[in-house]
Amino acid sequence: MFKKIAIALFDFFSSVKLAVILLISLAIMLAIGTFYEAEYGTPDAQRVIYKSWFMSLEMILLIINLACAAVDRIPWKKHHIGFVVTHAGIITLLMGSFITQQRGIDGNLALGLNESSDHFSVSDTEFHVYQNFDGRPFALLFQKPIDLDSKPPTKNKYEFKLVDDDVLVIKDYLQKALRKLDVVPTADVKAFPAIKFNLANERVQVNEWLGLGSQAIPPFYDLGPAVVSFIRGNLPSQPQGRNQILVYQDPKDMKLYYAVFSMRTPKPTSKGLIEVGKEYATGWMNLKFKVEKFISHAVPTVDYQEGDQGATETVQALKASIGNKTSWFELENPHELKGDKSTYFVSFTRKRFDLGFQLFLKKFRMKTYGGSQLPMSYESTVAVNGKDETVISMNEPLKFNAYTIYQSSYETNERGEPIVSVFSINYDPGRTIKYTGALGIVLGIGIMFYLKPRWSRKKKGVT
Amino acid sequence: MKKLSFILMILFSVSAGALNVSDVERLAIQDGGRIKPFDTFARESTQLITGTQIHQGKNATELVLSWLFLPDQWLVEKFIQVKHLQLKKEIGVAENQSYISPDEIVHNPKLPQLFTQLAQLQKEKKKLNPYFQALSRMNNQLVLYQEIIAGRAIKVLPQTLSSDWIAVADLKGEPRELFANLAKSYFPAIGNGDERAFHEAVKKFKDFAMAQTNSNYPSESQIDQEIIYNSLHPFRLAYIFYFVAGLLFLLSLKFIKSMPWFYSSLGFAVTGFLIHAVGFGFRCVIAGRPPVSNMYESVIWVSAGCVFFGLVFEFIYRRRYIGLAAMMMATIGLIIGDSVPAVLDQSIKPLEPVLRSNYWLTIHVLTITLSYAAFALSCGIGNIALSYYARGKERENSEKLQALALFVYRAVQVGVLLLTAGTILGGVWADYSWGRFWGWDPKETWALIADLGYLAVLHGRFSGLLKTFGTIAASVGAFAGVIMAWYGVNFVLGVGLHSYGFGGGGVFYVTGVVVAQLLYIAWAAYQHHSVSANLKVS
Repeated sequence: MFKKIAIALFDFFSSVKLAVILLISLAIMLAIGTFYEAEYGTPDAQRVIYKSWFMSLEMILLIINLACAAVDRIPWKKHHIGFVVTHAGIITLLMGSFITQQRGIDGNLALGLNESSDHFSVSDTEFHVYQNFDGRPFALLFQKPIDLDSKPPTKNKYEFKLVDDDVLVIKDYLQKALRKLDVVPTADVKAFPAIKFNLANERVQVNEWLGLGSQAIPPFYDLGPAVVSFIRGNLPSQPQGRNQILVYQDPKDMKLYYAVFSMRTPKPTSKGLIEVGKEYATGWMNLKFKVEKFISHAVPTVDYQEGDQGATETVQALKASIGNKTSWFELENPHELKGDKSTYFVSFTRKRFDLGFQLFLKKFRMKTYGGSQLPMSYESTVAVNGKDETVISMNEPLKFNAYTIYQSSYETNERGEPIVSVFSINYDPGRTIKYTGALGIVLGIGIMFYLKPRWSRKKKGVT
Repeated sequence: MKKLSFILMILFSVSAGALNVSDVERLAIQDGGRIKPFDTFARESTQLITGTQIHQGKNATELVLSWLFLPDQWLVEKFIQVKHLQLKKEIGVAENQSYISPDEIVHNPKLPQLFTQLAQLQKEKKKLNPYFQALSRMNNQLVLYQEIIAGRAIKVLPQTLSSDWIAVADLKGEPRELFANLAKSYFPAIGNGDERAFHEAVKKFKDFAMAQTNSNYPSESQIDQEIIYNSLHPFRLAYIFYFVAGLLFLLSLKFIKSMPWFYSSLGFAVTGFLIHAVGFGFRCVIAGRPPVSNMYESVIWVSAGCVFFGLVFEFIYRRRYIGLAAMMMATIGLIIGDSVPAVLDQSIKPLEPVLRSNYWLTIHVLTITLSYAAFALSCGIGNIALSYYARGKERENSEKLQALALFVYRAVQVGVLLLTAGTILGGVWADYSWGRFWGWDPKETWALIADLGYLAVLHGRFSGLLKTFGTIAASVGAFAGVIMAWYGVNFVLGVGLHSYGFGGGGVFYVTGVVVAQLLYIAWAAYQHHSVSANLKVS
């Protein structure tokens, strides 16, 4: 009975029909994956489709099927060589990929010019909490890997016991968070004044806060052809030399005034008292100016909202609280959070690895094709441990110790000059195994398709 | 016929006393990151602006010179091509009107706002729908035209200390005077046909440009190569030969089964292939790399591969169907390559940094696309076989169909080997340059999906699930996977790392062809089913 079932199972797992079913189901699954990626982006597709449990199941079934089919044909004859080599090759390749996935490291390092680093980070995230009491320096309380993309705090509980009954709870997480700045009034009379202006015509619409005395809210907004500035004290007597709207609070009556300067005339083209909510013509490009809000003592507050699909400049951010104190933590932007008695330093960060050597970025060069902006090459000149200067470029990575360092991308400053070179850093213990498998697959298929028909023809010729 | 009258028209217009601009065509221009003959620059510019390379009997170079020197004459002339219906409606152009004038674009009340919207979308890197693609094309047309008439787009003079060439508008001192002479002599040349001074001025300017120290001015033979390539239209010539060869294969198959007919069809096919190969060789030499970096080049290469495999198979089996299928697919491929320049950009462009490795580019891309060629051949043979099923004539042709199924199977085997090897090589390249053997990038994923589809066919035939009809129908159907991997990822999905080949356009037509193909298979299957049912009953 047991033997019968075992044989039936083996027949099922070694059957070509199962192979066909697996091939087609895999093809369909992957096809869905690519459309999913086009809609929701690469990280989501990787998580939901390519690194899902049913993909693993599919791979396991495939390996069983391949192995059973090969075993089924024992004792192998000459005409089985191609078939066995191919199937063994696929299994080897999948095994190599498994090793890469489990033990490989795939990270990133952004290095500024003349900067060096001895570590790099990967996309996995970690949560670190440091504690400070009695005026001693912060000491690490704990560090834990967290994966809020796969296990969002809306569905999973994240509670961490700290000291003195303090409990830290992760309440919310946004994968594509947009930082939303708002300004609210405060009772603190030392707080700075702020205005929210609106500048609009049929095509342009600008709506921004300007403030005096906070880094979060700059005192001017540059549109390119024109500037809106909020200044202290009285109207300056000097001409401005460009199109500018000046808003100022008169120290005597504490009321808001405006003055519009044009590039050509030294004196303001119009000025007057500002009535909040009333529109004033600027005289340029049909633009109308309005102060929507005026707060004489203001504080900035930051809130986060989920960005739309395709929104750019989003950040990953989590919301954590201790007792009734709540705060948002952006990735790689740690700050303090106060408990009842102690102060904690909370960090939401990417996992880091030591390189084992110092990598120094000496030079970054983007060559373009003559007479055009089309990039031709990206090259980073780096030094390892202060010596061994090498150039890393696309298609020419640097291999050092077990790591391979590739030119990945670059970042520019406001003037568009490259100032940061981004490398991807990789350690792959499965590489040799994968390559062996790959070689087996190609050789095996070649043998199957070209040598086997020849062998069988020869055989027929002999008999 | 249309072609012939077209050629006659050109000959006529040339003989009607047009300006001889062959020396201007041979001036070198720096444009789009390349040094190219004026001829190439003019063809590419007029192609974009007017949609053709010959407009109102003027060839591209004459047209560009006329724009440059007589801009006022062109202000209200309708020569800027606009095709998109919704766009025409939006900007108030009549539906049957295919061209508008620069004046109409500049003074259109709606366009500034639309261009602002477009700029916003482009800034946000959003994918453009066909309407905005059309708008973007109009913007490019206008900008290029304005840059040409302002002399800023035409960079004619190499510099000693910089790799940037100097545009006509920025010339100073002696070269400025030399060019001014050229401009002055242009008017009598086109007015009363006194061309001597004009040619003299062109020569003087060119001599000056070539005499620049340290200059990368191309040699005469380099210019020759590109001008020959431009005027030869080798791929157009090749498909005419393929088309004739296909007809002859068909005739030799149906009516005249004598060997001379067969050999003459082979002769046409081989000649076509040689022209094809020469054209490909020219493009290699001009670009300095294997020309497989965009959709157009891959279509040319796949067509060549399809003919190559077809000829090899024909040499082995001598069954004419294979030759017919190869000619059919190659003709379709080359005609598509030749006729939709707005979608398949024919210009030679410099490579993206990551592709600047001739070694990897050659072995990875050529292997992958060569597999497409084998699959295209199998699809062609399969469609010929399906025609017997669709007409209900399978019983009287069963031996033939078994042979065709074998050819389909063999072509699929070649394809699977090449696609598997090519995909793995792609993995090795990616591992070498990015440290990632496999990353589920859409292009590589779709290559795998296409491969899996054909592997399913091979295993299905091996296990007996697929018989003669099944093998044929499934192989033809599996070509949809290749279409998606080849065209769809770049033009439909438009995401991933293989972004250097991304483009837009044609989605409607390609989808239509795939759907028609699937319906054809379904119809053949229906007919096959009813024939088998009848067989059982009788």
